[in-house]
Amino acid sequence: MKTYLSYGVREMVKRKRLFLFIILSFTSVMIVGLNTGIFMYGFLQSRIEQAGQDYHFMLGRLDESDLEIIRSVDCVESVRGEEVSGTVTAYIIFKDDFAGKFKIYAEEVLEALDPWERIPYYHNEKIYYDAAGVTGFWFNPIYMESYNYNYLDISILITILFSFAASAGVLLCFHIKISSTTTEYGILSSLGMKKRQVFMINLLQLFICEAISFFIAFPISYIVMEVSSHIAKKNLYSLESNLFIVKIPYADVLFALIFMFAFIGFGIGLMLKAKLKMPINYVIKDIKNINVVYSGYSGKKFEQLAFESESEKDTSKSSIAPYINIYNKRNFYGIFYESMCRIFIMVLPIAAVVTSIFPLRPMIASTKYLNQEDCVVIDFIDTFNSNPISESVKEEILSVNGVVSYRPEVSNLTNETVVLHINLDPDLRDSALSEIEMICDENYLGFTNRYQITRNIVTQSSYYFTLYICEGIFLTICSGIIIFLLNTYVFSSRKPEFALIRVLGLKSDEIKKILMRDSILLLPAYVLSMIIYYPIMFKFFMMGEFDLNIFMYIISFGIIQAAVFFAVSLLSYRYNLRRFAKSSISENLNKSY
Amino acid sequence: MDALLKCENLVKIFTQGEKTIYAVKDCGMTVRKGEFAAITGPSGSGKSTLLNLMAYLDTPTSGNVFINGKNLSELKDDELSEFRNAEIGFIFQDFNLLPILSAKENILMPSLLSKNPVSRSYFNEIIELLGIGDRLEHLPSELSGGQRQRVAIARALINKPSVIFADEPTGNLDRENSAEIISLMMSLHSQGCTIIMVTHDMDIASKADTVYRMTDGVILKL
Ligand SMILES: Nc1ncnc2c1ncn2[C@@H]1O[C@H](COP(=O)(O)OP(=O)(O)OP(=O)(O)O)[C@@H](O)[C@H]1O
Ligand SMILES: [Mg+2]
Repeated sequence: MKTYLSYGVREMVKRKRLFLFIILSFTSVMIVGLNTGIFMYGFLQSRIEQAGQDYHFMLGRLDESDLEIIRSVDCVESVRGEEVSGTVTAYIIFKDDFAGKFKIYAEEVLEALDPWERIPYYHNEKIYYDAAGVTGFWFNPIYMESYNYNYLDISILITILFSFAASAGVLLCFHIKISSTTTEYGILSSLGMKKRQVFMINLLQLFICEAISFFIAFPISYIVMEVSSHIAKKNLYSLESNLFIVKIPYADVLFALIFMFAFIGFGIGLMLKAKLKMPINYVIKDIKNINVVYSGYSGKKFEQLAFESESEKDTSKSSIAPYINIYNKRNFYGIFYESMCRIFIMVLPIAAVVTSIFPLRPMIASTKYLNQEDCVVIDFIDTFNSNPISESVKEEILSVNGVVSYRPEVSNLTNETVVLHINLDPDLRDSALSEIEMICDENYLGFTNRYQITRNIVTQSSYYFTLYICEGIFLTICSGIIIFLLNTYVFSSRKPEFALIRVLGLKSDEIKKILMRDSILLLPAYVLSMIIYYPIMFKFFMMGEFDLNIFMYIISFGIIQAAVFFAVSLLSYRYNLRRFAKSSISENLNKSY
Repeated sequence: MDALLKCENLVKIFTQGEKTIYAVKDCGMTVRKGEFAAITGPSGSGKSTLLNLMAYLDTPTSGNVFINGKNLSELKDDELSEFRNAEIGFIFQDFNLLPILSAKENILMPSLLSKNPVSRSYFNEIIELLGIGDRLEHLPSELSGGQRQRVAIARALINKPSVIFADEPTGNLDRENSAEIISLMMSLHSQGCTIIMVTHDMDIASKADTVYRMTDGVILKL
């Protein structure tokens, strides 16, 4: 490693807390991003690609020679023929399980078949995937086309948008860092360091931060996603792969990492350029760091209160207020950046949750049949003897693993139809069906050997709800931690200033006032982030045919989030004030990053 | 003899990992009201640390500081603040001006925090004495080292404190300016202000009523 770069590493070790703050913000942003990514990608995969793995492309009414023809088509991996009353149905698995190509493959297969075999199926739209009896969703080529189109486009678009937002957030943290170390860059420049080298040091630090953050964020995201979906799945009697699978979009993640590095690096370059363009001694003095809007605010009130003749001093009132005013007005950009930081932290989690659903909206809307009422229905008829099915048989059937409920449907003297609800999990379903078949054989019951799915037209709300709530809670915790760190960092960087005013006679109580005024100043940031986000979200949700519950969830999520952030802010101030009071003034005077 | 400031058995130990630095070792000194005490000694001998302890900017590892008979360690935090504001003026070795305030605002800051604001005439008097009248609107970063030093001195004087702690107030000034500052401080002294000053300059030390010498954390009255 070049020797000047080791300065950058050393700086990271020495300024542990500052870099910890950057790394943690980076990590949280990544967790949010990875969660969004995994969630979105996993969902899309389950809707499209998993379907291709699980289910076969099915044709009907063929003979052995037709199967041979199909077998010889390039894209076909394997064909299995199944005969039902003289008609062979071919189940086909393609080599490439990407559903985006299924329509093309289907056409290739049909092309290979004789025209008279081909026509009826195609025209009757009988190309479909036997998705656990869920027909109608997959066989429509238009569906396939539009979803694949959406998926590829939106996935990359969201990755870019997200990386952009995340980079902007991290860049703000870096701005805080660069601002607080400008003096050092000046000193280093005076010792002969080139601007390029200063830039390289920062790039190295960015790289290290990003790498560390990634290695923290990646497992956490994965675990959170697994745990969230595990909790969400608890009461679900549905085919899991129809809902969600935890799958990592490696290409998107890699792309996002590179994009973020490039974007933040570029931003750092611009910042440094602006900072270092002044003559070196100005850089050392870091004159521009205090963005004095001097003519705009003369501090008249300050003087009036400081001089005895000009105003009757009201000692009951806070005497530090004029100072706070001056500080805030002259530190406009500092507050601006800090506010922006907070807006990002506030908006990101909810943005993640919402953007992750946005591309899925049409799919969720068309996945209405999946909820815990969904089950396989089996009719079996007691044709052999005209007695009703005995209680013991009923018990036996109910004890089969996978049977959810038992309901007599039609009952008369000669036969009895019973509807069984069976769990949709393919493995469970298969074993349950064979067990039931055995029971039927033993008791001379007619078993239809056919099953169908009942569909309750209800949105799969409990599943998504639980998932969003889990996600929401976790992401709020993440952003709460960043708010805490940000507050702590900002407080720490102002420690010498507070200590100095203490030397001049400020009571420790009045530091609270300064902090309170600061918080009030940041209030617009919180309000703004709400204003930016909620109408957009509202629109999304209205488009998605969601019920009021989900909208209420979003609103309450926002309120809870705001409350959490407020509490965290108070907590962090308390914590910092205590620590400040614990150390002596001279210690605080010298403490800075 | 009116003891304004008295410290007993002051000890300050800094620990950094396994290293222990005895910055101040068992210091005792008494400063009368109106006395001008100078502390000299080699660099790193603990002068600044001692000054910090006496103004209670730092808590001693052991020992007590009394000002006007009050034990500072027994004062409540708020009382200590009021006490600092009204009775103590501190001039730091490295100025410690508030970067966002102009020179004028820096000087007026203690007055802002005080129950008894300063009169404009006194303010003018001070800045005239210090010769910084034409630099009042500038920020600290736009001032020269000497100018910053004077602003820091003006700030220490603005509330007419009963004791001024000065940590090398003339360290950044040329002879002429330095002499001006010293004569200013001497005139304050003659008005009854107590001054405790750290200085390397033997000329200045010779003007003091009492001279202390510090070596390796141990103080010795000369
Ligand atoms: N916060 C601290 N932690 C550890 N050691 C410290 C701390 N502050 C001061 N010291 C050490 O205590 C000793 C005395 O420091 P001090 O600043 O009082 O010296 P000084 O006499 O004022 O020197 P100078 O004349 O150079 O200003 C030094 O060895 C210094 O390194
Ligand atoms: Mg010193």
